[in-house]
Amino acid sequence: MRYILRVLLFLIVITLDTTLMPACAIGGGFPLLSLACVLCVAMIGGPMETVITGAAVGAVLDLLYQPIFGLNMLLYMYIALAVWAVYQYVYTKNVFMACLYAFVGTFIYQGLYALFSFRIFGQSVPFFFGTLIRAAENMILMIPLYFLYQWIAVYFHRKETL
Amino acid sequence: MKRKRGLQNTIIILTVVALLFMAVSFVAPKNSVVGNIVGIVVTPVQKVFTGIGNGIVGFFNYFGSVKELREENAVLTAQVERLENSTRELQSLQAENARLTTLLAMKESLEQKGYDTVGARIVSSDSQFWFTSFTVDRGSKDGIDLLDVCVTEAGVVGYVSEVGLTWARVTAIVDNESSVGASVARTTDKGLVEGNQDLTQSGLVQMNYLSSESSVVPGDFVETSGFGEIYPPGLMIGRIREITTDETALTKTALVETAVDFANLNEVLIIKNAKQEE
Repeated sequence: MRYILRVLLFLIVITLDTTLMPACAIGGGFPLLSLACVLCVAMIGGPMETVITGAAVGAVLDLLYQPIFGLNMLLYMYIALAVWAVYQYVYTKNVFMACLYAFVGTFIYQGLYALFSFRIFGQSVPFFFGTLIRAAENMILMIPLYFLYQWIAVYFHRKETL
Repeated sequence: MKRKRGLQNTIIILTVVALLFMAVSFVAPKNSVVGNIVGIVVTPVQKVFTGIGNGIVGFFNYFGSVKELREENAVLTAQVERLENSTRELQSLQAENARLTTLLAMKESLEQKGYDTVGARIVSSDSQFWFTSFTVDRGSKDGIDLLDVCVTEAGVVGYVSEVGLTWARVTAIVDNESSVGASVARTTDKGLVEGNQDLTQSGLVQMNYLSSESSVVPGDFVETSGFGEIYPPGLMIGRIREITTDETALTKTALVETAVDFANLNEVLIIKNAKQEE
């Protein structure tokens, strides 16, 4: 039940990411809701959960954004894993740290995506300014998402321990 | 330790799968077999997401455009009001046009008979509902004189009882003080059509002094006989509704339904010097 709900939740997130988020564009960039959610999993969940969620969400995004198939899968998985790994060594775990990780994670993702897109497929995306805006937007988006995901995690944990 | 190895294996497998996908995407052209297979798998997924996405965007656009819709609604409401007013004006003009057209036909018909006529618009009435006596916007400067006859396309209305430079007062045949020499069109029986206060509101006048020998029946038409100083002969007064024989049995009295609708009068024709033409 827990996994079905998680899959459904991420499907909704990806749908919003590909439809509603572009409509909320500020300064040419719009937030990456799916990445913010994956980073939430990385900060609150376990390593296996993080890796599988990152790869699965990335793969679905790859299905939607051809022809760079596999790139989002790889980036989401490794960025989520990196955030999880670093987060283990941080003593203070709160929403401000989560926001900082969302900013850094989005910045790295966007940078790597631009690099791979440009080098491998000859595509180019507006890099620096757009990346900063996206990272900042994801940082703000992380505030409600962090509490929401924490609440969901606590809810399922309680249910499982009962 | 076992758990850690499981994680490592998962990462390696997923990395290999992702790199394989990337390699296939990079190497295989879009129209190749592999490209086609990928397209077959991907297209339904994209279709589902696009469908859901369009629904969501449409939903939010609906609320986003509420202000716009309200403004459009206000503009359209104002437009509807303007159009309704225009329609009312048009209907009024159409009705007026129809009235004036028939009045013009009447004017031409009277002029063929040698009468000189002038059209006039009613500007005020003594009664709120019945035009027993009213004022028109034509006067002596238009050649109107006392005792000139007032008609509409339906029939005789009355006579000019007062006249000013730019106005004239008309006393209708339904007025108490009015009497018109009349004859029944079918039998040529003569009588006197007089107004009666009790009958006015029913749109009726009384035709008195009909001979007891008269063979008039309800439905006969009554018109001016030409006797008297005011009305020329042959103008329609109305139709007999009811006939009664007087107590003395010497005369009959008929109730005549006027041809003119005295509750709805707007324009009239005034025959100038009708009797002199005779």
